[in-house]
Amino acid sequence: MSSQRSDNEWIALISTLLTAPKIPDDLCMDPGLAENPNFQKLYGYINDLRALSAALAHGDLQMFAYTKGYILSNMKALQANLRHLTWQTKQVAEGDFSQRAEFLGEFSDSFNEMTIKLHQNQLELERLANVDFLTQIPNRRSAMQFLEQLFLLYKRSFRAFSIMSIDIDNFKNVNDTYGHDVGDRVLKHVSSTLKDVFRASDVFCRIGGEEFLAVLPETGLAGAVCIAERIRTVLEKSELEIEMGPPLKQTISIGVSQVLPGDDKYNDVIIRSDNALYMAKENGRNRVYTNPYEDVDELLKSMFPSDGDDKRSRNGTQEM
Amino acid sequence: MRKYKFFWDLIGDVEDGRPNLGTTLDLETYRLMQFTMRDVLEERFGAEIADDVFFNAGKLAGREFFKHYIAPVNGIDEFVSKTQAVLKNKRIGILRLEEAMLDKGRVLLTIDEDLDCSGLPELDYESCIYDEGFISSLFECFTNEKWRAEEIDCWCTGARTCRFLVTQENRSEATAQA
Ligand SMILES: [Zn+2]
Repeated sequence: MSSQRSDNEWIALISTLLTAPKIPDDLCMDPGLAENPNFQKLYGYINDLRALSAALAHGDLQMFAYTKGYILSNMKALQANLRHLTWQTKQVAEGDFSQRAEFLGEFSDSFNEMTIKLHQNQLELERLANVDFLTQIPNRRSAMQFLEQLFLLYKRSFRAFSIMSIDIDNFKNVNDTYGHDVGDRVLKHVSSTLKDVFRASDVFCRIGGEEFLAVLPETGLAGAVCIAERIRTVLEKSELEIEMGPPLKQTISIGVSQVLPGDDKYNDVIIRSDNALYMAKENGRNRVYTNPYEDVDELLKSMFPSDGDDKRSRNGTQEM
Repeated sequence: MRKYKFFWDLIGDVEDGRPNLGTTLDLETYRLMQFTMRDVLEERFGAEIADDVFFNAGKLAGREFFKHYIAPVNGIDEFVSKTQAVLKNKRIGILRLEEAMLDKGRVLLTIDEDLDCSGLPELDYESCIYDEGFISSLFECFTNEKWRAEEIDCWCTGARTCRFLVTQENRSEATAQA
């Protein structure tokens, strides 16, 4: 090609630059074009357009073009938005569910919907991980996490807490006599009856089988025994209707312990409440025992001095 | 003896101060002040010093802004989301992150509809020197390290977008590019 081009030749040349899949090699060699600054400026612009559009088409978001101009600006805007979306996606992957996309129309809607659903799933998984499937009260894992925090707090600022080990009396008989379906209903009945008696700050959980555990923050031994006695009584008075026979009456045995200055880990407290539970079972069930041993009646009297002679004395603690 | 040393109370009680006119003001008026100030600074002291003054004013503003509206923050996520929210609520601009490699000393971000330059035509040079100082400061306050923001590109498609590269200053170029 000569450097003296007609208008039509210029139009054909620019059209080639814009539309051809590959720019012919001889174009760059043409001395007339190489020395024309206006052409070089346009050529630089079109080259950036070609490169950035090709990069975008192939999902390469790393190419930066610094030439100015309307079409490139639009591509840069798209690129910046896609790069931002990439960053947002990484954020979501890291658990930052507050990210919302606000460009790309329908895609943004889908992205946002996905993020909201991921968040809901995440919350549901967290809930499931901490809840006992059958009774829908907290599970062992959740109680242990709570205890760990309470124990750290106790070590730092001596905020007392107490624990109850709770076991349904003669649960095996229920299963053997009426089958596992009724057994499951008993477990649900016990947990739903007891959970309403505890205070909002207490954590009452099922740790497996017919065993439950309650953690009572800011509560000393006397206070814990008082609540233990209350839940024991509430359950004793309740009934569960079944089709196979008369309503079932269920009782529980409870071991109570309080965190002590010599404890190294929260498990020390659980071991004591488990020992107390064992004593309660050994001594006739449907009663509250403590460890270290305290006379439960005396403890209760000390909390309610006017409330002297009542049926709590059938608690059997004297038998120790 | 300083006559104009900045402290936040200088801004005054803007809520009580304008019971009829309110706390917001026309963007043109804001730019009129900023650009006339820059004009006079350049005329008196040259473009370089004018830029330096604007950059450092931006830095001072960023520092005060961080103290007043953003601190305290825990971690990059909170820093980013809080900054995004405040910049949007104060109608300063729309911040979007493209890359946040804080540990590698490199952050790439864009600001859309920027207070200082949205609506301006594309120029052959990047002009948001005040913002460069402002953004540098936000990162410095957040990390307690030296950072430098540089406007590396801007484009208009109607609204104007400015792209800033923010790098940690005591790192070598090679690390920052990695
Ligand atoms: Zn700008």
